[in-house]
Amino acid sequence: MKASNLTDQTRSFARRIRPRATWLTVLAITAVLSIGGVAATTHIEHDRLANRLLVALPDEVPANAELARFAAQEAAPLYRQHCAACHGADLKGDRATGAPNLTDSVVIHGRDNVYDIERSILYGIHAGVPKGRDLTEMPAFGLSGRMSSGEIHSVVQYVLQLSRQPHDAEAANQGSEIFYRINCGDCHNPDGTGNPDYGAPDLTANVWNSGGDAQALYDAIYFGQRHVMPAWRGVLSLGEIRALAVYVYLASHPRERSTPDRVSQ
Amino acid sequence: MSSVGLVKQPALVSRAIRALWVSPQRSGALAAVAIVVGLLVALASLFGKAPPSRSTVPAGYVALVNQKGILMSDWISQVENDEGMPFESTAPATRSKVLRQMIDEELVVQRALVLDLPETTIEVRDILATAVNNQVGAQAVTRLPSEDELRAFFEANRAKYTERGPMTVHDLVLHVGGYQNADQSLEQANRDAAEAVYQLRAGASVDYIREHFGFVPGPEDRGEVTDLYAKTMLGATLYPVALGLRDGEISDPVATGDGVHILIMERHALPSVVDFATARPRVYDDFRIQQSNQAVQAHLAQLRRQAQIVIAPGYSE
Amino acid sequence: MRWLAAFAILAFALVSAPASAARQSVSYSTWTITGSTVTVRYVLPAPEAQRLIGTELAIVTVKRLGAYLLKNLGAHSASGECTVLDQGYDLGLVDPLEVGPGLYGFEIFFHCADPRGLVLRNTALFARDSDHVNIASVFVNGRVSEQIFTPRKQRLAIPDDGKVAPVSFFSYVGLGAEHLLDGADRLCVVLGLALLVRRRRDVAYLVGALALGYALAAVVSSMGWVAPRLTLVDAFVALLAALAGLSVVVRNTERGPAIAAAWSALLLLAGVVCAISRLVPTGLLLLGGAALSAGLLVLAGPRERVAWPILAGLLGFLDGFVWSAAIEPAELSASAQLDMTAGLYAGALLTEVVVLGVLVGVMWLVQSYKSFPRQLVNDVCAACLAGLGTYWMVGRLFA
Repeated sequence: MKASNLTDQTRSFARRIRPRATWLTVLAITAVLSIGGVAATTHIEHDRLANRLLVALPDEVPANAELARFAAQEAAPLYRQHCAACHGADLKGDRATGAPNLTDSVVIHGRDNVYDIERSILYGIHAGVPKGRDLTEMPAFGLSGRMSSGEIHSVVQYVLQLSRQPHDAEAANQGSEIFYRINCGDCHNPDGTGNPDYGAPDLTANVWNSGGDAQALYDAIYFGQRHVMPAWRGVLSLGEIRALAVYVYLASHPRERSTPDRVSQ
Repeated sequence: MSSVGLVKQPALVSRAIRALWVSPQRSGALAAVAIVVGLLVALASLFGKAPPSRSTVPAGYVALVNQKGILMSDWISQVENDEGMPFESTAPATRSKVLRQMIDEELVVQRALVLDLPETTIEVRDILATAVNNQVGAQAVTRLPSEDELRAFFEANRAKYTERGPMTVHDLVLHVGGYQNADQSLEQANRDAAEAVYQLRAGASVDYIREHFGFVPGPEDRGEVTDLYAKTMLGATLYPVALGLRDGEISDPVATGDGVHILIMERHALPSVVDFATARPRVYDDFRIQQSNQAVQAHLAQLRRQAQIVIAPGYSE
Repeated sequence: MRWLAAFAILAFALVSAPASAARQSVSYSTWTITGSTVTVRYVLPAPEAQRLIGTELAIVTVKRLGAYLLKNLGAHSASGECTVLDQGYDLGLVDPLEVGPGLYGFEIFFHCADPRGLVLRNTALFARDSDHVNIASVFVNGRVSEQIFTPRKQRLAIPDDGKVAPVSFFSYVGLGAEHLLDGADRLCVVLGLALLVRRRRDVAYLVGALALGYALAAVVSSMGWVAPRLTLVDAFVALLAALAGLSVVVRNTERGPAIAAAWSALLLLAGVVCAISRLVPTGLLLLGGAALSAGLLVLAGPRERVAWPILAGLLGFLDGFVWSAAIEPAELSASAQLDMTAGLYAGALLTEVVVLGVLVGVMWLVQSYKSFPRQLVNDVCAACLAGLGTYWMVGRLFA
């Protein structure tokens, strides 16, 4: 192909497509600018809400519909990625891991508020972090030889009695004496109502992380329990932790949600 | 336009380039797109988010002290701990007071780091090391031991769970220098003690030995004592000697820092081996401690692998 | 023959050239003069402190740095050398301060019996680094003036009336010029641009692009949204040098476009490997560089004159931004910061223009001599630029 033919063809081709090219270019630039503008606006609004979520005191957030909605939207994918493996995709816990049901009103560690939930997420439970919740653990009474098998069976019956489940009354009677002798009340309170400062569950509520039947209770007393919740400070940002705390709180307080599907699974 | 691209090119490349250059609009547009995309991608790697301004407190924190934040959650926790009541019930003045205290504490902690206190103060080093080891150990004890592991641990450490019986042992000491017999040398004392032992074994009484050789009772001679007490009473040098003595036996002379000793074992109960069921609580606790210690050692080994450690010539660890 | 000579010189250049960047070496000090007391607060970035290892310090510890500064900071007055005050408690003569992450801070008090004829002395780091600059704020009787200590200006005289003249705008210009002349990688980019120039108009376009780059850097850095990753910036400047050289190669050789395509493909491959290996910023830089190279070298074709100003603009933008990042920790007033930034940028830009002009002038001059091996020199310089730029880029990214 000669250079002159090439140049003529090029020029002719260029003349034909020039108007279309111009309009296409203008359209493309407009589209890019529009998308960019929308993205920038969304990003700015997102940052504003994220900042407000963190600036507010933790327990003020659920009362603010806008912030609560924002927190739930932010937290849902985070929960699926980091928490669902233990607490279940439906937040209802996992008996195998002992991870508690997050949708009920029973609180094991701390109080039933956003602040304490946030604290658990920040510093963990039995995670080896000094600021975390690690005052006590359920000892392995059987494995360590501190209680015999028969004694454990009696205490199990007593716990079934406390939680208003079918039980053997005579064994329960013996169990109550052992309960006091072994000083179970030091953590669970003498009446078995538990102590959230220690993370000792309420034995009368009939709400169990690892199962409330006789076998599960026997295993808990025999082998002890030391469930670990990791400390997420340094892994997740402060904003993400705050959002998760609000999300978990709203899961157990549905009346405080202003839209029914805020805490979606 | 340069004719370079159309002459003497590898066939595939030249066809490709010709296809682009035949259409100048297309090649120009592609070039522009490539340049813009390239710039955007490269600039995205070259720049990161600017650090926050030094004069604004990031959200989630309640104060900044030399760019180090005091977390709002920690402040709330401190207020509640100090006042013993929920945060909402505390007064603003109280909250301010706690914040001031936390800022003061942060300043002092930062000061400690700047002054290299871990370098110069043993207590600080101890606390830091203990805190790290506690964290590492706490992670390790989440795994409960199995029955087989406990038994295996008991078998491997049986001596630890052997209970030695009580003993009634008399300690006679011939002091050397600095005590009653200032002129007594160690060699002389050893000779005297050897003779005393011979006499005792031949049936001489303790009173005779005391009178003729100058032996005096040891400081802690108290009749029948438990094994643990004997260990404390006799010390690291004499205790193993006592362990080897049966009822009525007399030890050879043993020199220690204060003189030469003779031990007379009046009665020594035999050791009893504890069975697994009886020792179980101790076995469980010791196993957990071992788990924790192993984790600490493994952590230390990892730190060593990651560290660059150089030792001066002539020294070794 | 031509290429043989080019490769031989390139190999020599590669062997001898260190992959060092023209990094700004900056520290900050605040001098407060009140009556007969002089207080100096010295802030040193950790990387600068690390540079003292081997020559001034065996290891970097707070105590040793403090002792080093005690030797190198001082004040002298009519009554002689001012004495250093013991600050009591645990402080000693040098009080270490907590000033923020990545920074060492120290405070020293001097007492001058007779405060007249006061001269402040700062000799820290200059023996180790001839490019080091200390940005100082001097407060006298409540009035502040910005000063700089350099290897050539290690002393500052304070008039008895306390009216210290701030450092002139031209000092900043000189500083900017000096820094650029010390930066081999930046000069290489300018050399490459000079080799690409064909007409006088091209010089104007390049100067304009450089100025635009610096202006953009001033605007973006003042917004405080982003901060540069300095090691990657240095690597990118090296890439620009390589691109400038390759632009000349593409123009001059028969296989130019193929070489350029291969270069882009190599960068692309390296970027993908880095991204997969989780070296994300490095991977992004290489991928971006690949796209940029493809656009500038392969596809630009006859529109190469559009490409060169982009190189020039990028050089100005990055150089300017790095200066802004170096000045920021000094926490100067807005007007002082503006003054300093403008002076530094002006100095750098002026130097680039002068160097560009000189190189272009020399090339046009020798062009008139037919016996001068213009093509050979062109090829050799281009090959050296491409090779050096690549070597520096790889060294800075992966060393």
